[in-house]
Amino acid sequence: MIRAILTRLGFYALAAWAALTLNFLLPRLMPGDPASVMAGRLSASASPEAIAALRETFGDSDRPLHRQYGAYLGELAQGDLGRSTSQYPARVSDVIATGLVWTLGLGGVALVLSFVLGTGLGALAAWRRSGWLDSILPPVLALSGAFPYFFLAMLALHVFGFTLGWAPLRHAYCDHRTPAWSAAFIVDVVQHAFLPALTIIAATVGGWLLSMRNAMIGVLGTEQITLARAKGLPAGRVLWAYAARNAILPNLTSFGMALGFVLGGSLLTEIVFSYPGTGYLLIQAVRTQDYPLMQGLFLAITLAVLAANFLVDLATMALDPRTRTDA
Amino acid sequence: MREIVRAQARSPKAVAGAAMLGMFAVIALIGPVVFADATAPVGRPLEGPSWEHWFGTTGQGQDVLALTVAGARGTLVVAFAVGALVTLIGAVVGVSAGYLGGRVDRVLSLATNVSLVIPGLPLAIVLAAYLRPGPASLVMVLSLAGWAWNARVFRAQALTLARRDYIAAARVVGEGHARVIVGELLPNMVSLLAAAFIGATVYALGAVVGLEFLGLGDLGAVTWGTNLYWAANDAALLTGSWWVFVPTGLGIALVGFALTLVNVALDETTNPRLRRRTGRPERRPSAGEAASKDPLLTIRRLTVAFGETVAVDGVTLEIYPGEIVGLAGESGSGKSTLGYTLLRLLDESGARVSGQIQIGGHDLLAMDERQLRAHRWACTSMVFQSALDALNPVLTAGDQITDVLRARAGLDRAAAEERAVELLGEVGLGREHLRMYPHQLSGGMRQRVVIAIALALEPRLLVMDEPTTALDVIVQREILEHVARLRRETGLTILFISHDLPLLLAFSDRVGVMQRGCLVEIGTPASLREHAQHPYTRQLLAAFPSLTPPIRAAETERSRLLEVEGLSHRYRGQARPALDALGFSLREGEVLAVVGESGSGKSTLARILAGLERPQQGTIDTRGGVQMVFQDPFASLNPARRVQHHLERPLRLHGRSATEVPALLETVGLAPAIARRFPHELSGGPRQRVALARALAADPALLVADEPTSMLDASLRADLLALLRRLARERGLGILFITHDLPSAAAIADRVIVLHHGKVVEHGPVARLLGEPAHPYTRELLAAATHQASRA
Repeated sequence: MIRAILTRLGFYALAAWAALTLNFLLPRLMPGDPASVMAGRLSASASPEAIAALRETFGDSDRPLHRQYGAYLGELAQGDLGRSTSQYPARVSDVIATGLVWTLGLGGVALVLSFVLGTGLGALAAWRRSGWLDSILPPVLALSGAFPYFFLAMLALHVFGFTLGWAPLRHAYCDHRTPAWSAAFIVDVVQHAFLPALTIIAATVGGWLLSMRNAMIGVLGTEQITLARAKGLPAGRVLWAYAARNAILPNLTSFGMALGFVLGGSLLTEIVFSYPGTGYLLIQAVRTQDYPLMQGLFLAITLAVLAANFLVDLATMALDPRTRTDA
Repeated sequence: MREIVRAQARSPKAVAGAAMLGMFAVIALIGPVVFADATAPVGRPLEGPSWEHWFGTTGQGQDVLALTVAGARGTLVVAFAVGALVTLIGAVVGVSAGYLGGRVDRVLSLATNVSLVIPGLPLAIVLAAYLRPGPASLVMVLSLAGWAWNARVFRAQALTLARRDYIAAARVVGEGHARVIVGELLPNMVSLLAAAFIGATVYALGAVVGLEFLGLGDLGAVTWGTNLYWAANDAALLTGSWWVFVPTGLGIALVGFALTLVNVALDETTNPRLRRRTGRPERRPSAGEAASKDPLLTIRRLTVAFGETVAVDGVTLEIYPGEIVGLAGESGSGKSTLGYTLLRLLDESGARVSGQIQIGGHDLLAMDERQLRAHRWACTSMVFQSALDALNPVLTAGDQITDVLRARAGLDRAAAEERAVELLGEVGLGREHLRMYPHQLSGGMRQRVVIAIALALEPRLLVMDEPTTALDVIVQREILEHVARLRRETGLTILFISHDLPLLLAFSDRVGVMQRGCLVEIGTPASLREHAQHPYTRQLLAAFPSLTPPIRAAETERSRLLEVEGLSHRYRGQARPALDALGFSLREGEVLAVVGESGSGKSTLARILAGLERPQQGTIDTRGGVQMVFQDPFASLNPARRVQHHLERPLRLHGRSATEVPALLETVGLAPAIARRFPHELSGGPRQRVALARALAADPALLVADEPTSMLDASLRADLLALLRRLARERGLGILFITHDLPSAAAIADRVIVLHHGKVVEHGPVARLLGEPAHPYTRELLAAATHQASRA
């Protein structure tokens, strides 16, 4: 058990190192003197201080690559991601910290809800083959899943926000409030998050439902289910402890693996709702060509996804005894 | 391949999906030509749909219809290009990793997994931000960010396929790696390739549009994504101008939906289980009360049909309390269907059941759902064939016994556990097995757990469906002796279903023989053995070779074909060697039987001799080529290739001509016309003969036959043994016949070596070894076999 956990930790350490290195190499692999090229692009829009910050982030290109790499890792170890060029002199790490909270709150909660809802309904759909759930949901969700997330977001914003006026149009809370642990503020935050969360769930729930349904149908055809039924166990136990418990394992693995893509989609949703999370920051960074912020965000999102994947692995180990001993 | 396409043409989902895709292909093709200057302002800004502008105008007064139609090409070309590239990279990386294995696999799958956990879209955004915007950059960035998923899928598939015997068989006849991948692996991956391509294209479509929406595409070009970018930029959302973005979004969704439809249809043809069921199982009207109370089970004119197929045909049978009744018959004779019907486990599969079944005075077929639940397990329980499939891998052995006790006998947790320990004791397991998961138990232990589960509610009738087929003879005997003792102690009544007639004759009070759904004969073992009435029963009895070897002509001095010395092999991570200093020789025209239980090392020996595995120590000296016939004829032939391919390749590889295929088929007793068939169109016996013909095509001096008859029914088994014997006599072929079945060895071998834990414990001429075994292990094997044969 401990050994299996350590093996997974080692894997994520390796993945994190790969992401760090990729992040280091990306700007330096660009042809010519990257810092100058970027500074040139920015010279019209950015202040001289901001351009200096850019040079600080990407280092002195005269130094050999391994020296730059060492310095980069050293700064990273201190949490130093450089300074944002568009919000100079704000530190990239501070800018990201404000965004990450909102993204984890919105995207994280929506994804988990969507997964739980999708697998639960998928299990029921397979259990009652050709019932109403199984007849209506898969085609409807296949269609709704075909829309790009941000398009569903635009549609939802137009219908519920603009036309009907049921939900606020933008931001995470009303501008006149200051963040605090008060009931009024929390209600406000939930009101703002409701519509974006709903669109993320609507866009992703179908995928979980369909894959769980298909996995369930496979498990339901096996002899262990025949035996469980023949034993005269209550239907609920056959459904959840025998069928769903086995069918969820491949789905859980895909949940971890798909997290990166799904999270990417929820970043686009943030942009439509001007929700101040990492996705919104990322697109701001792209539009203002704020490379230090962009790279810092990539790194932060990646590390968050790695951490989430590790949690998924722990959940898999809890549910599947066979993974506890495997290396 | 052709079959898959034909199946798609019949599926409404696939047809609808393909039609929609075709429509968008036309739009993509002509769109930019028809609306060459879609970006030119033609009306007032943000005008709603009208006769003049069907879809309205944008903030810049452009026609939305023109932009939507003209934008299809740019987006779809990139999406399909990414889909194709991602599938290609995934297939190359995944198949290489899965097929080649070892270090290549470790490196490639580590790279794949690392790439998978790094979030794709953020990576693509950052990458695209550095590159000059345009379709080429988008394709590159998205392929780089998204290849890993498909690589993983392909690796998993290649890993499963690479372990199949037909891949090993292709290697043995001399195919190179490239030919194996192209000629054997890929034809079995056609539907996976299609599914991967469609799945990747759906991903790419969403991602392309997403990146373009962010402004990372070429903003000067007209594509669906840039349409949405401008719609968001012109604040179409906040002015209520829904018509600006809805048509483009619908276009994207329809293409995505069409792709999904095709994929679902594809999935349903390759995985028939997913298809929607039509029709409901028929409920049979209730029958009258039981007439006689003496038998525990009375079956009258029972008929079970699935659609057109009649599986059980008018069976009438009575079983008395405390009796063990055996039910014999070859696969497909309906004996398992009969067993399942006794618990009404076929209700949901659409089986039509007629006739009458009385158990303990209750009419089984008239029970409603609630009565049925009360009846199952408490009155009739069942031991399933494969314990590995029947046990839930995520629950402990104890949980699977206690859950039925708690749900049905109303015991609390502690009492249920105490009872579970008792039950485990009854089948020869201990308290320590209570907390073990199925994967931590051996095959024999798992089968014991399944029996313990069956005994949990002290049923009156126990149906055992091939309970020990997957087990070794010695383990099998131990388990059956346990069951026989339980019967003596508790008066349990048992219906014992098996294809193994000698086993049934040894353990049953009465044995029934089934053929094509009918019970053709029933009687005591003695009466069946002495004077079986039905010709089929006599045929079955005769098909079992006895332990007395036929008398063969004295051995003449012939040249040596194989000389093995000091052969040792140990698998990584195993404490005990699979083979331990093995030595033996084999002459021309000689049949040497290697006898042993599973785990004795006999399959390792076969793989080493066939060149599939490299021995770690020892010498193997062969004259002439070595070929191999595998155990499972359903696994050793490639399902995607015709018989012709299986014979033609080895003929060509060994410098012979494909015109020899008909003669080769005749040698093994098959009609030449079979060459055009696919393996799934043949049954087990002919399949194994094709596998034998493939081995002969490579012109071997020595044939390694790894349990070639163990998957065949009794009558086919005798035929194949005779064929092998003839090949040895007429062609001087040396045969190494690997088996766990002593009667088969007695029927075919000149000499026998007995393998135990990788060592030769005894060897000698077949008559001497079976007549007066010296080693205790040989005696034990012989005792297990004669226990059945002598009483048979």
